[in-house]
Amino acid sequence: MKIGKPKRGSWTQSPPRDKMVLDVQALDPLARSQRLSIGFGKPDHIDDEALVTLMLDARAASNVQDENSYAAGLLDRVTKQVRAQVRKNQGWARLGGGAKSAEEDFCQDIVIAILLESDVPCHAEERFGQYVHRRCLDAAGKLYAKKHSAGSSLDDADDAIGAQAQEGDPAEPSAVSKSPEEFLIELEGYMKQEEALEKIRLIVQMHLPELPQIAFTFRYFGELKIKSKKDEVTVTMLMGVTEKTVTKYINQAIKIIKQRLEND
Amino acid sequence: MTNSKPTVELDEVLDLYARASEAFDAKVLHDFIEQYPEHAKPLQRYAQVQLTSKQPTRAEVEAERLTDEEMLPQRSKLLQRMQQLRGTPSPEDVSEATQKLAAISGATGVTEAAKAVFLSVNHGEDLLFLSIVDSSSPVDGVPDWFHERLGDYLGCPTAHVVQSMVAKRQQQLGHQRFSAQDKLAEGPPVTWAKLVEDCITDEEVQKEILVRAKRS
Repeated sequence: MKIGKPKRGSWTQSPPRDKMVLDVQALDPLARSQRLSIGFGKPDHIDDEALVTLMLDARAASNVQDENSYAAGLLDRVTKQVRAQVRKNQGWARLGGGAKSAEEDFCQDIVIAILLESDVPCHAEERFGQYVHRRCLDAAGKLYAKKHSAGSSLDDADDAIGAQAQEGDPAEPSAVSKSPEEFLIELEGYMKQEEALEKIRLIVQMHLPELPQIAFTFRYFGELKIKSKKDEVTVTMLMGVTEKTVTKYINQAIKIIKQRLEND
Repeated sequence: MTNSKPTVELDEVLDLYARASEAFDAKVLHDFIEQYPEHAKPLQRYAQVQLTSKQPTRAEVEAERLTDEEMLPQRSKLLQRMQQLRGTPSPEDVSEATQKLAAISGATGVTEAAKAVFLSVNHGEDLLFLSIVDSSSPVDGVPDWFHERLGDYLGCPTAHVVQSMVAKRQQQLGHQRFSAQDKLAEGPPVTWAKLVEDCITDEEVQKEILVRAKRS
């Protein structure tokens, strides 16, 4: 793989970022470095998106020295974003990976990926935070999607529940006394508070067995019905299991969420 | 009966799904599960991560602290990777630069190119330009700024210009081999300084070009 010659055309950032780009380009290397280190929210701060444009423009102009200097600055900003993403989504650590060197390589990969972007403007020079979030999400999603079900995975426990439900045994009434729908309504009231919602999101990410996690996520976060007579996508369709099995998974998820919330 | 349905790799399916579903869309997920039932579980997992992950706020990003001590080795590694990626230009890149170089022809073409590189043309700069670009021997000590300015003039990265000049020389040698009775070797290298002295008629300009070469 090789970094090809980009064709940037005449696209420029819109105000006020266009001025940020011009201001930085007019500075000598030392002043430029100082300007780029000014934090967000302070006067003369340079937006991440403008820094991406500076790097890509320098590359298009074959100005290796400037390209390197902007790329190094951008790496710092990517690293801050990635660390904040990982801190915000603590469940990602459960998916595998997580080594410091892997995180470092990942941050470098993001800068290289921006350099290889052929779109003008590229996503990162329009919405940098969202771009990094998508890269992180994609990495976490793929890591989880491909993980093996052996070893420490909770799949085995899930399968046992699934098999029991699929065989037509009655759903265990003692696990929860209310129906999943009733509990979800109860939870919805609770989730109106943002803090509580955040707690539940982290419990779902970190403490649920896989199949209850997926069923609950589709039902609550995806806002899908368990089963429907209408022509709409439901949890049972996505998971390929019966209504009884989905109900069982969701009951199990609710039970764990309630226990965790009570313990807090 | 054999199953003729081609198996699509999981990575490819996940890439397709990621592109098709920027935000979670149950219909898109359902379509993918129907189309790739063998990858249903990974797709469910991917969607689960998609739905439960959250983007940090700007304040949360700013709260992350980095030290030079930890970042310096990483910056250095990144620059090494970028350098490796730049590497040798592809044959297409070199071919494009060679074509652009070949398009510099005729007195006007050469004068314009020489002016772009040396900023003047009244003291034998056009001859110096041709002596370097058309040399059948390697020219030692050609300063970086010569290639950089020529690259700017042609609209090509410097590395592509350098490689296209090497390719042009090899092409010339190839022609010679076809026409010569005996195999001809590449001529002895000539130096930049010698060519400047031979071509530039004005001593001051000559000196200025050589000093500029030492600085680069």
